[in-house]
Amino acid sequence: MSLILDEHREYLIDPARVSAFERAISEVVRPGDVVLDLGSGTGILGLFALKAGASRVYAIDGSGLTQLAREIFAANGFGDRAVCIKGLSTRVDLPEKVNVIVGDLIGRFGIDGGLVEYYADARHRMAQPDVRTVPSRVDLIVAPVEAPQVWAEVDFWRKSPAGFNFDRAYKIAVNTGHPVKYRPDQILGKPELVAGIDVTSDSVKILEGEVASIVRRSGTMHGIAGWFEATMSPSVTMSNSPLREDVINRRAVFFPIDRPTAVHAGDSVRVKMWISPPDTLVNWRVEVADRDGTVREKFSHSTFAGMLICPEDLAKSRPNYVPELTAWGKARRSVVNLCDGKRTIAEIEREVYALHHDLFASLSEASVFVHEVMVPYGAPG
Amino acid sequence: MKIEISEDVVWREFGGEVLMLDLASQHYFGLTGSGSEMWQLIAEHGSSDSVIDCMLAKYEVDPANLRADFEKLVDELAAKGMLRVTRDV
Repeated sequence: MSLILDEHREYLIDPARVSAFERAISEVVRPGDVVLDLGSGTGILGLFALKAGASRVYAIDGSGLTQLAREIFAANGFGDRAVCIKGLSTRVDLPEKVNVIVGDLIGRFGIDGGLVEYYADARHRMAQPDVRTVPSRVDLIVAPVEAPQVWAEVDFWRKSPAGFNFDRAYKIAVNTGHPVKYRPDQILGKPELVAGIDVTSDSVKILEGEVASIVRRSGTMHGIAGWFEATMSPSVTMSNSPLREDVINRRAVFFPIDRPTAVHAGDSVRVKMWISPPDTLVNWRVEVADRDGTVREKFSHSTFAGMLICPEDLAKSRPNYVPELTAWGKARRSVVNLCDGKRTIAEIEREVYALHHDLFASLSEASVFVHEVMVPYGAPG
Repeated sequence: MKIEISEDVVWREFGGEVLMLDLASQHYFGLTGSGSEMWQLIAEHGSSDSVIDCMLAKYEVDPANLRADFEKLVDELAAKGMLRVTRDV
């Protein structure tokens, strides 16, 4: 089974999500609009836009779904009004400026799906100055949460699995945001808006916020739950909030704290977040205070400490690093150099095989290697 | 001398190296070798005397040179806002 297709099936069988996008797009798109769909997948948002009267849809997607989307647009009678483009939108140019940008790049916490970066780029390069966007705003919501199950998965690494010391992996796990589907009763305190993204105007920037959530029921806090509330159009919102009845089928996020902490109704849980969307870097500082304001627990975590970084990779980013190509790097350079606008791909494959025969067991292996380079970098034939 | 790592700094150690991110400037910094060790001792002990005592217990070096090197590192990092220093009176 195709995992990509299955992912998009999941999107389409989610009535809350499908309904939110359909209603929002029909409200935002006007007859004659030119619409850009970022991360278009099977083309469902573009289909809604065309149904709403768009004169043309540019559907950009980096996955292998581009041809399937073309066929789906054609099968629904929109083949002549949909332009499907395979590639990363930041590297694509359009022949005209669009009136509307649609997409679902919200991720689980608003900042982990590329929303800020891709919309900002599309607005600046591909859109009319008065462009409308779906969504137009995404708010990031946090609340203290009781989540023993996912906490146990984090703590697993400190339990000497298979009889060995894996404590170092705990440091990664406790500094990572984990996807979780919560029940409403797991949310211990009042949800608070910690940061917001104005999709119609924000450029890539740091998001910061500090909020205090008042605990509503006593329990054990294992971390901070994070989810999004998206304003899709003037009358439509969409969210993966565990507290909403029309929640979409998308997990929220669990930001762990180092020790499960007993909290009581009336306590205050202060959450300070610092978020860098382009690298999905999130820092969360958490303080638990009594009703009288006495702080009794403090935690500080960062996905910076949760990244799987290797010193050998890091060394290559130092300013004084003098790079040299490996044999595979030289082979890749050969492919690029041989693309002179005259040679055919078959000729390039043969030449690469001849130049680097020690790397490839057969011409067929060399062909696969050349193809890997050409898919992202070769101009359309 | 009391030394604290700024709240705006997140850091991690791996492979003997310390990698730091200053949230205020959004700049990354790295410390290797003795600088990495000193940073970790600052995080653990929070005072210059403790850091120097630990280093002297581990390495046979001239105490005056070590103190000078340590204070130079602290001054540089404090100037970048990554350390908060409270000098003894």
